[in-house]
Amino acid sequence: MTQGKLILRAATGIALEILYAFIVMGVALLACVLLYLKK
Amino acid sequence: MILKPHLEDVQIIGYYLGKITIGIGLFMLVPVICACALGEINPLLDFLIGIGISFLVGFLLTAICFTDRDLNWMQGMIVVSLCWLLAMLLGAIPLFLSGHYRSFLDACFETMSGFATTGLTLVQDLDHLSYAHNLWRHLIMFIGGQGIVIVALSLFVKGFSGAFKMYVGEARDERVLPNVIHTSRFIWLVSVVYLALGTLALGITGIINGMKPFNAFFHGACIFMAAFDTGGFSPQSQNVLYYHSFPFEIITIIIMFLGAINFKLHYHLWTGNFKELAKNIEMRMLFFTVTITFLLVAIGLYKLHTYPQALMLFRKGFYQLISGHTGTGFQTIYALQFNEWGDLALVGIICAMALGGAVCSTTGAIKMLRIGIIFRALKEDVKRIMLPEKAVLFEKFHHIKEIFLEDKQVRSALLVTLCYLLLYFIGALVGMLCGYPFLFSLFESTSAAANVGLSCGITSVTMPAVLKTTYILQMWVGRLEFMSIFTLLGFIVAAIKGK
Repeated sequence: MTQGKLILRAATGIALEILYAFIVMGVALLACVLLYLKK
Repeated sequence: MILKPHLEDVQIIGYYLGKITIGIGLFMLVPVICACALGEINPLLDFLIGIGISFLVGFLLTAICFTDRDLNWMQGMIVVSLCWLLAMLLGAIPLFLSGHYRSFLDACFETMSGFATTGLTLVQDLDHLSYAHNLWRHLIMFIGGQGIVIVALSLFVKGFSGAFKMYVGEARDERVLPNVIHTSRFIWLVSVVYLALGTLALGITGIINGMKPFNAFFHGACIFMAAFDTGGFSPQSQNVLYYHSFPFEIITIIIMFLGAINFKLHYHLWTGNFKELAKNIEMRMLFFTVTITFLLVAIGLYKLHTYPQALMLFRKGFYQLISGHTGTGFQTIYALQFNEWGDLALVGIICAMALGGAVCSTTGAIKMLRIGIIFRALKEDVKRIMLPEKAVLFEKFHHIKEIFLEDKQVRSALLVTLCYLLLYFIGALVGMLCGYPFLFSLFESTSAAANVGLSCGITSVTMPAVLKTTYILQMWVGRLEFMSIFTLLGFIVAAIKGK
């Protein structure tokens, strides 16, 4: 496998890890908004 | 009958301890370079004294105990448990000489907190601490996060079979690659790649927020090391609150998450096994436990009207929760503001701290794999009750590959969980004996034992020495996950009572 492909795979992996963090943050933010909308 | 250890055991332990001690001395060269570059003469002398003592101890141990024999399991475990104590004593020397610590015990507390990636701090006047000392505080966190032995293995050792025994002793029971030296080098690769990316992101955010470029990147590097290694030290006394920046908080949340991910999972994601992220039991459990504990915190804070807006609740509530869950200990509120949080939110944070992140990551505490295994075992038992007696039952979980649940995995997970719970309560008991209320004592004790670093105000220079010592021991035992400590205790008992 070429060096470029290896780097691309690693970059995709990093992007997915960051996406996971954003999903968890999004769920938490949504919960906050829903809690205050109830008021 | 207990067998008395041989003199040869002590010799082998001493030799490898000496090697690691020399490694700690070599690491002190980094702040020396920093002090030279920035013209900090007094800190330079502090570190030269530290290096001198480390080299003296290291070379004496290797010379007196010289051996060409490899470590066995018991010796490996003892080397690990003792090298963390030795690293604390040696690493505390330059910090104590800085004059920013009231006593050597306080400096030891700070160093153990750093190496164990806890983040509880007893430094005085942090805002005027030299760059070199500040860098050392964060560097010990980086070294401790990878594992002191991992650092020594990957940089100073060419390869020997005893390496794996010390690797396991440092609470790293998973090998990313077949060879333990390659594993430790991969852990370094992940850390260095993220160090570059994280420092860049935090540095640019700092510059946009009005910091001078040098300060922005210095703070960026320090904050990255503390976040990725789930440590929690900060170059400023107000911790992350100092930056007053929402983007800064978002970036640190992402770095804290990255630090809480299993290095084995990093490897699989970086090499193209992308589906693993969704299937892995630890990532599923992390999502589940973060959601549940945050709901507790959010409802608790909402009921007390602590924060008037949803965004404030997210920035304060979620930030402290993730900081606690990943074992980092960054705070965007003052320690005493936890008084306004109420019991429910505090219980939510305590539960999050007690659970921790993934195994083979830089976090402490019980960890997600063990919680997942316990849940699966519970599910299997419920199924057993509900299905006909003759039904053949098997439960499996996905962690890199499909694994069938076995009794020995459940036993091991339950034992470690029980040990952690005991450790949390012992610390809480000592806190209560010192006159602090139950919930706050449990909060601070869990924070120390789970290597988190969030503080509700108990940790301060004025707290009793017995509590400081208890927290030091909790941080040490919590970071090494019991086995190597129990082996050391067994060794001492055998030396006294053995025949």
